[in-house]
Amino acid sequence: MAMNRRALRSGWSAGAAAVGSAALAGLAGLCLVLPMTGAACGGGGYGRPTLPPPEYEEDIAPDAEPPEGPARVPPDAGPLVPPDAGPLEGPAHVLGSPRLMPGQKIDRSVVLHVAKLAALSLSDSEVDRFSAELGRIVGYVEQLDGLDTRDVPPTAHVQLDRLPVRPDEPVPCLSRDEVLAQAPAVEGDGFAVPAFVE
Amino acid sequence: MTATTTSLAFSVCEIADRVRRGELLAENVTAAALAQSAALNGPLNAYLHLAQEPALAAARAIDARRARGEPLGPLAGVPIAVKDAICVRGMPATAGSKILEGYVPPYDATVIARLRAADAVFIGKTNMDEFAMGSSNENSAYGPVHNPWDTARAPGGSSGGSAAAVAARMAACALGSDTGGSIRQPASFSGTVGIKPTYGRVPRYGLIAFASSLDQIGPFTTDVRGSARVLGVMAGHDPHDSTSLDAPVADYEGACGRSLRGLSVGVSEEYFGAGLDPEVAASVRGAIARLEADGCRVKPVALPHTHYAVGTYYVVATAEASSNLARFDGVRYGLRSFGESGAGDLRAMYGATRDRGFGAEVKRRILLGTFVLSSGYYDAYYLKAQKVRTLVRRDFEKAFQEVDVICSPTAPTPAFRLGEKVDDPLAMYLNDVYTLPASLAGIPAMSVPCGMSGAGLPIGLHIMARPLDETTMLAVAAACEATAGVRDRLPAIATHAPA
Repeated sequence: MAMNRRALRSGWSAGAAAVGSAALAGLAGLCLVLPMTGAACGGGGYGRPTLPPPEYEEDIAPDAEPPEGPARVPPDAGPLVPPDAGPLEGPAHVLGSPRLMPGQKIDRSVVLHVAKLAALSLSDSEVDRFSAELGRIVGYVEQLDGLDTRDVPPTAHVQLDRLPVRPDEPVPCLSRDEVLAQAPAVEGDGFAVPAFVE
Repeated sequence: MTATTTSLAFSVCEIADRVRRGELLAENVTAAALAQSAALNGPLNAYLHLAQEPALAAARAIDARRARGEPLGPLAGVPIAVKDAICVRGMPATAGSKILEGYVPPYDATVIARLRAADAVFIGKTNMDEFAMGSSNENSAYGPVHNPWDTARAPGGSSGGSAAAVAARMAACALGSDTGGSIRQPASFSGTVGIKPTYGRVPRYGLIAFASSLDQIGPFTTDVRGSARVLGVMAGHDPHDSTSLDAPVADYEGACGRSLRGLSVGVSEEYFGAGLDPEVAASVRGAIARLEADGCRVKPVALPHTHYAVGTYYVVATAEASSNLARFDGVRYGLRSFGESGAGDLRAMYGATRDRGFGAEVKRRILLGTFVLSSGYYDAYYLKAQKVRTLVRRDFEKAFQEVDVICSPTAPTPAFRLGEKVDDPLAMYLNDVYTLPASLAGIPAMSVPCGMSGAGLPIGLHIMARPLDETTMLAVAAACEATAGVRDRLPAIATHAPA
């Protein structure tokens, strides 16, 4: 469990990191300078999903061996569903055999940690509920382990071969006033948020 | 009957062609659609917003241009309802979520701009599962949509409001978005035609993102030709969407009615396994037999990774969703909350805003997506799912060397009852088993009504085709429609509304 705990702590914190800095591109289609938050304006909307490299957090000692990339599930755990398991037989089949890797059980501490990464405050009852539900869903997903994918390249996106790049020229964007009119709080020319720098 | 009431029975092409010829006033068509929508929204809850005045003003402007002898666009006067995840300038866009309550986009999505330029009329925003996450519309923060064929049943999801609006003739066309089946499954449940185009065929600029490697916008209509015309208007490259393809847009409407002679239809037994309702199986096999009678060759094809699609999808889609939904933080639009205390720092604001703003299914998927992306689990789940996605794509590539289209049921059952699966997320996910593979492969797919169950519920035929081969898919759909004998069936509730 120690390995998993460390791995989780060093996990990609997209949810938390992106909150406050995600762009308007997907929703409002433009970038604005956000002087009140100081946040950068990234490409959060339609475009190719880009995944930041994993961030390693505080509790890896400087003299510890360097992280070897993402920790893996023990390879000896074996396939969870036989490769010839056949077609889906509905929820009864699935729910009757929730299979979880040793040491991978989704419990309250995992849900709390993931919720923190995703900047979600959850009530106690939600934590209980999601622990059980996510455990069942992840157990179902583990049927993918029955497939040998060693020589299979991943598909992040389909059909990227006909995508012209537009000229890098400034074009008019939405009016600042119209965009700021949607904000819960505004100060001057920016979005107002609680102070977060001493 | 007055022209106002009869116009509800017209298809997209009939309305536009009559308005263009001066046989029908856009204002009357719009007024009829608005009246039907207002009369039925109580029992169906299909709309979150009706744009009464702007719609009538737009329709009158179209009639005035026609009166001056100006040419009108291919969708002249067609009343269109828009899924609430798609931005229409000046109309609210909640995506079915409390977190976007009050948000009014200051711009049109590309598809809206294109349809507007074709003289379509936008009559309102339709209800949906929150952020398009769901298969029954029960995940809307604004209450479920009811299926017009049986109001105790789900309309499907996530574009359930759009499907119900077209089925009950509250609009001639509605826009949906399809990430894993969110157009096709509700089309099947509601007896309407629904298309998920090839990934990249229709621009998504202005669609509130769920899973960016899967999302596509598409139409719901009462007939195949109408969907073909709307698709033709929406398709084509858009510099605002870096994933939109610059491939030429084919003549989709011209494909409807084309002979099927020489085409081959693939049938995969992976889509007819355990869990499939016998009535649905019989109806779909009957439709395939009629395609054979129309001159198609029917061939078995193997899609051996089909049953891995659900697991693959729920890793890929939730991972992308957890990233896309990070932008909802209470800073720039919609809800801002500090929780009970009413005050706090920035981080408390993020957490409280997202806790109060998101419903249970959205939180569940954000948590799952964040989990599968976290570094201890990234390889085991996210990378693994991306690799299996490649295997699903290869299945189709191989099959389409043998056949021109693949036909299957759209959903394993007719519309299920509201509440039936709401406490079991996994059972709900498994309802998408037939629509998910095409989403993962990025190929075009659609649902066309092919029959009715003994209980009077619609059944849809699912047609999948090669990338960018929407024309062959539409030709097969039009042939199915011509022989299925269900095109003019209306839910009883649609005929009871006041004129």
